[in-house]
Amino acid sequence: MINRLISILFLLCLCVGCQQKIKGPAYVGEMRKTFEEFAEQTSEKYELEWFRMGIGFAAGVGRLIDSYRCHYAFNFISSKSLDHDEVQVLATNIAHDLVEWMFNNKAYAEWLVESHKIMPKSYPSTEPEVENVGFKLTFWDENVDRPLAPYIAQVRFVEGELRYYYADPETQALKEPPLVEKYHHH
Amino acid sequence: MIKRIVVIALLLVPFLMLSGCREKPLPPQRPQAVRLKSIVKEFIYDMHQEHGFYLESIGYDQFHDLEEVSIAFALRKRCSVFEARKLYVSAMEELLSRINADREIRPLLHVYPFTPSQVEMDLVFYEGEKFSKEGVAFMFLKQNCIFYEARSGDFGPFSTLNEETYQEALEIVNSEEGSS
Repeated sequence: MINRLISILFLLCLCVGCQQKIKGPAYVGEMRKTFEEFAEQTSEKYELEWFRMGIGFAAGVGRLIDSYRCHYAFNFISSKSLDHDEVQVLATNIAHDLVEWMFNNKAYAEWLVESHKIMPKSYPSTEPEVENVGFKLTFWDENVDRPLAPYIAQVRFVEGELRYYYADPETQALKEPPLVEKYHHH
Repeated sequence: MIKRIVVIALLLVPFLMLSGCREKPLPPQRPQAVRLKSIVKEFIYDMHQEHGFYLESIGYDQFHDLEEVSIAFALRKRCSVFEARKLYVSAMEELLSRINADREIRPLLHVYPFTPSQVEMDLVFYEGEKFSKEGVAFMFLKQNCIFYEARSGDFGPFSTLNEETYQEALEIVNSEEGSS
């Protein structure tokens, strides 16, 4: 009798000790993993650094690029000085990779369907749209100052647009309004 | 034999319970977040040394990148609008210049240069344990406007003594410093 009690108690304690305290749904973990993979691959391909990414409308990911239609976004950093034409090629290529990746990513498709079930107002559609993804690519020189015109200081891919910002030569603040070009996905 | 097992099991129970109930350690903070905190910490210390500011509360909004710093300071002194403005503007300018000068965190600031819109700073003026009854009792910045609030009595409502944009306050302080 005592032995049994001890065994049960022992097993109970082991179960309590070994259980995971925080565990989200598997599809969220899978999404995060694929995001990190994309960020790693893109950084390597285009010689960038990636600092931060955000997933999910509810978590306010849109704040990263000031867009609330965005479900996930990346924050890239480059130490190159590139003019508008060069940034246009680079940003269009990254945007293309990102949109392609989103359309063909099973983890994202599953995440979107599940998110729609839980929060239909935040995720009104289960179909991926170009507006759901974005990134910010900021340029800094070797002194960690913004490159000045004719070089671009920052480009954002937001809501299907590429927005190019130049730095103010005195304050280094980004000049508003940005130069805006519509992104066409092929 | 059974007794021994019972004793060992009983000794193990608290250990196993504790290992089950303990909090999982938080993941380490990113170095940039740590750096920002150390800049702000130094600033708080210096403000205390120079102006007698006491820290009331502090917060950081850095969910995706370094977005905002919130600080509330308390001062045990009576201040006119004139004195309060000077204290507020000099503290704000000092913090902004320290954050903007740091090249380590610069690429990770949500907005560079950091402006008063990214810093939520409140100053509370006490006399003893209560709000200052004369002059400014509380001041804060909201939507780029500084509000100077007075308090009538210990439990009375706040009333606005003065309000001005941050830029106006900065110009006043700069012109006073230039003329003195």
